[in-house]
Amino acid sequence: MHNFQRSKILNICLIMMVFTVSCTEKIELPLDTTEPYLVVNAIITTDTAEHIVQLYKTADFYNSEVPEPISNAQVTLMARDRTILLAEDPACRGTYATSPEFYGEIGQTYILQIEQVDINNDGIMETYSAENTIAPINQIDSIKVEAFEAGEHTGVHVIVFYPDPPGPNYYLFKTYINDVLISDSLHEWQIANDLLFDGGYVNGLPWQWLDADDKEDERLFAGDTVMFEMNSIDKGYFDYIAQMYAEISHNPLMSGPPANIVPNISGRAVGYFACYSVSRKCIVLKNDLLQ
Amino acid sequence: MTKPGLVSLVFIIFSSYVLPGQNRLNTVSGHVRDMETGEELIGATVYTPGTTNGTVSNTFGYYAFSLPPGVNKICYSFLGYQTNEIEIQLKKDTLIDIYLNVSNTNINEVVVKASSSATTRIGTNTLVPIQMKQIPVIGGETDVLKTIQLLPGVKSVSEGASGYSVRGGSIDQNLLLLDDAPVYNASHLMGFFSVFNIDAIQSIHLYKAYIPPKYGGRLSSVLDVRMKNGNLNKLSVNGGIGLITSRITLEGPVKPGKTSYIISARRTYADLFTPFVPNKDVKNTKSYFYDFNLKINHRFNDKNRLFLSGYFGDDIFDGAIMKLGYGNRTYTLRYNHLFTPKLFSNTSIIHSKYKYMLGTPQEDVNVHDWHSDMEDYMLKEDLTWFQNNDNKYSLGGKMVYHKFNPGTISSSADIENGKAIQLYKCNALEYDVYASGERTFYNLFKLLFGLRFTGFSNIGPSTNIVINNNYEVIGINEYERGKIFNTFQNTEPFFGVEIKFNKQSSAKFNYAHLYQYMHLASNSAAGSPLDIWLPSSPNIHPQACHHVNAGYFWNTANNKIQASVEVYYKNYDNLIDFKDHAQLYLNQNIEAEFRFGEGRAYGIEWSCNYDFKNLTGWVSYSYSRSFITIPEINSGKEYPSYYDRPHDISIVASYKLNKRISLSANWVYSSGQPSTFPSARFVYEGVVAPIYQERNSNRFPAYHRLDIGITLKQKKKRRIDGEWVFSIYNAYARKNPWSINFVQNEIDPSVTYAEKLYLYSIVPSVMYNFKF
Repeated sequence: MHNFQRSKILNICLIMMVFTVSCTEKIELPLDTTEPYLVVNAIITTDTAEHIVQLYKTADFYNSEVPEPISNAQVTLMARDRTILLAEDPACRGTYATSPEFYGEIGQTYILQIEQVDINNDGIMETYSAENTIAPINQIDSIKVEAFEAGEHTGVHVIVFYPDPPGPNYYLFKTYINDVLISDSLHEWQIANDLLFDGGYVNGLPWQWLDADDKEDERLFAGDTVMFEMNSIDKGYFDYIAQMYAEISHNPLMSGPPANIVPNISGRAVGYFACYSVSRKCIVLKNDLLQ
Repeated sequence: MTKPGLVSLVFIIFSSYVLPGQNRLNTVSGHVRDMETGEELIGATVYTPGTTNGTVSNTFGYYAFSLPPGVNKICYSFLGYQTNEIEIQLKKDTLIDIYLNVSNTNINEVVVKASSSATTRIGTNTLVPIQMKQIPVIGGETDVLKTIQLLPGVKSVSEGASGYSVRGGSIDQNLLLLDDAPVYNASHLMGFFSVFNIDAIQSIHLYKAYIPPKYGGRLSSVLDVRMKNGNLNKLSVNGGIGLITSRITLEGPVKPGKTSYIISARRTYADLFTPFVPNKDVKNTKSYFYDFNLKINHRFNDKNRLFLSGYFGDDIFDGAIMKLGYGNRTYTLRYNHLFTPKLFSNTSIIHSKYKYMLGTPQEDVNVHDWHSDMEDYMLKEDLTWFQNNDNKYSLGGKMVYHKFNPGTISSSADIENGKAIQLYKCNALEYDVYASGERTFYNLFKLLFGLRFTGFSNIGPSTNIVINNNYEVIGINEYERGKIFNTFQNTEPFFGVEIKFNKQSSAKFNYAHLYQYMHLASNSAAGSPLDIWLPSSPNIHPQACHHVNAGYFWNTANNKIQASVEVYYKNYDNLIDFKDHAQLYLNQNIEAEFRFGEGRAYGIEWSCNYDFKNLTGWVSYSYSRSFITIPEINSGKEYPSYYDRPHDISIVASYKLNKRISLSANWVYSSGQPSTFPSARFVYEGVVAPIYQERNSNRFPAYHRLDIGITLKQKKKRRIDGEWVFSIYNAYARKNPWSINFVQNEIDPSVTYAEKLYLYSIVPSVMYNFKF
């Protein structure tokens, strides 16, 4: 099930709750604390670019400070017989990057190794590792952009055409307007699996919707370029994002009991080592879509 | 207990036992009825004054009582009715139908007699509408499920929900019966109302500890709701007009004294006003529920009677983005037959269906529809034999055919080779046979005993997934029609002992081993209508429970005060919980999302019911715990179940100020629900994500609430009895959390804080009830 459908199902319950006049109120609630974990945000794609691995620490739940970065770690990326050492960005502590010429290959398995780290400050260095494989992808044939109305809300759908490869596939979608990524946080990403169309031709599905009412950066005008990005991700990353949505959406009617988001990194760590293939398609708007 | 031990116990109990020198006794039998309506009274006490000899009328108002020949006095009493005492000269077995008058403060010699300590069964509560109508409720309309949540050992799962937990058990461990038909989802409007319309209801029995073997199939409780039969003497109309719902009931004779009917209808009407709301989303939204109760019965003669009853109800929500519908249908056809005054038979044919749908409006770009339903077809026979006052036996059985259609999800999306997801259909047969009895020795010591053989078979056409030890789906089996591919068979022994110390006090003990074959996939939060019931199968073994209860009952002040203390311990096997991140909805492989383990629950309940001339109600306190251990959850460590609320207090009082005005109030307190709060956080792609430690290791703030009400009776005008009911729910406006969320500040996303969602602060309501 893709996120769009899921969010609709959640909506109904929220609407019905609102119907019975519910209210929210901030409360003081003391929480337990725990030893910190290592947080890993690492992404390898088929693009030729600097690929980034970010390392930092978890914090107490109410701690709003910038997460403490992990410096001086030894971060290596291994594939087949190749081993690359990622260099820490001197301007941005805790951020490790490949060279700008690096690109991931479809079907290739990558191993991320993080060494020389002492998260719990016990004087003993820890090692963390993760493994992932880049899934194949079919190119997008075309996209179109259409206005839609849902009740009083108006918005824009990005409708996508492409053949789905046989076997289970998981997708992550992002959209750019005039080369600016507007799906710039997990809240605005869209994910989908292919349960409803496995191996078929996706003949126009609204994989991204832009909120023209509430978000200024998502309004479209004649002459704008819309670029749609389709990423073929592994099941683990799909589940990871879906679990993120479940843990931050506040709908006790539909979600199970709270549970930790499952990382693919060994040891006392959270986060994800994501490896995926990318396909993009652009369209230039001829007219304004919305009045 | 070992099998030989059990067999010998049964043998001793059933072996002929006659007191030496006992005279030949005569049987007095008949029905206890309401004088005005001719309605049978369920659970009325029939006794010899000045002794502890007594019996209770059964679910059809029928009683049988043995007395020596000669002059005898018999008292008939029932809560809310005047006691009737008669004197008869007994020569042979005699049939006496007795009619009781509703008690009325205009008459001075009112005796509202509560049942004696000896006739109270352990862990059993009986409620009648007269009594329930005095309790203030939200929206002003008396609700069965909201009222039973005030009883000791019964806890609401969340504010406003109709789901409840009995003695630490889960929601699906409660059997809800409406005229013997199981009701699988008893909620209207997300649980704020229940499907039971108070005007159509005659009585409610809740069994928390002693579950009579004629029910069975659930581990925690049985709620037996009986519909009225309809006024046999004259046409009467009653109803109520409220802010949210209105209801009307018509009842009367088709042929006076022989055939009668009752029709009850109820509807919300907020949707009638939505077209006038300027907001377009609200204007185009329809949200309402309605229900009907229908019943007709015919007395062929004193020995034969036929009943046909039904319930039909639907909830509809049709909005701009979403539509949702759900509803129940139940049909019951029953035939009562008296073979002899001592042998009573009830035969029932029952159908029950629960269905729901969820979808998007047809004009949506991406139409989705999900339809799901489940059905039961049941045949049931119960025989009761009143050998004499000291010995009663029952024998019976039932056969149920369960049909599950968890749903088809279709999508109109423009996809070549587009597929619908068909959740796997399955069918099952459930059957049981039981025998049970009661024997009293020397008028002070009573043994209750019984044995139930239960069976459950999965039968084709069914599709069943094959799961390996790691809960991975490794195959799918399809079974053709009529093919039985999996069977569970179990024996449920039951025994109890009751010791009568004197007229006022008694002690009771019982033990039962129970099995449950039906399971509800519920996240336990609230009254979501999207219930997924699943049968036991090769992947889900039946839940089982050893249940031990003991209690001491004490009546004083001429039975005006009834006090009790009860303790219980339950040990569960094959209890179900979900793995982390379980996908409950639209999941073909839902059986792979369950994990199984053990559980235990224990508690102590104090309760005191008082029933004075103008002041009635009860006070109860319970301390109870409930835990689960599942190897794959919480690292295999024991954790509190969702229903673990150690402290629970209810105070219910209603006071009759004068003939016209009565006041009522209730106050409830319970420990907050267990929950899992985060202990750390991390930021991932602009989102703050939580990290949790142990499951249910935290708790919500305690829940408490005061409700008050006032009822003003009008003077009778043109034969109309009218009353105004004003009530205030949550009188001191406590904002009890319904859920607690941890949210990111919208302006500064790095800031996270806890936020509670509460449904009501203070809710005043008014309702006008009438009767003519």
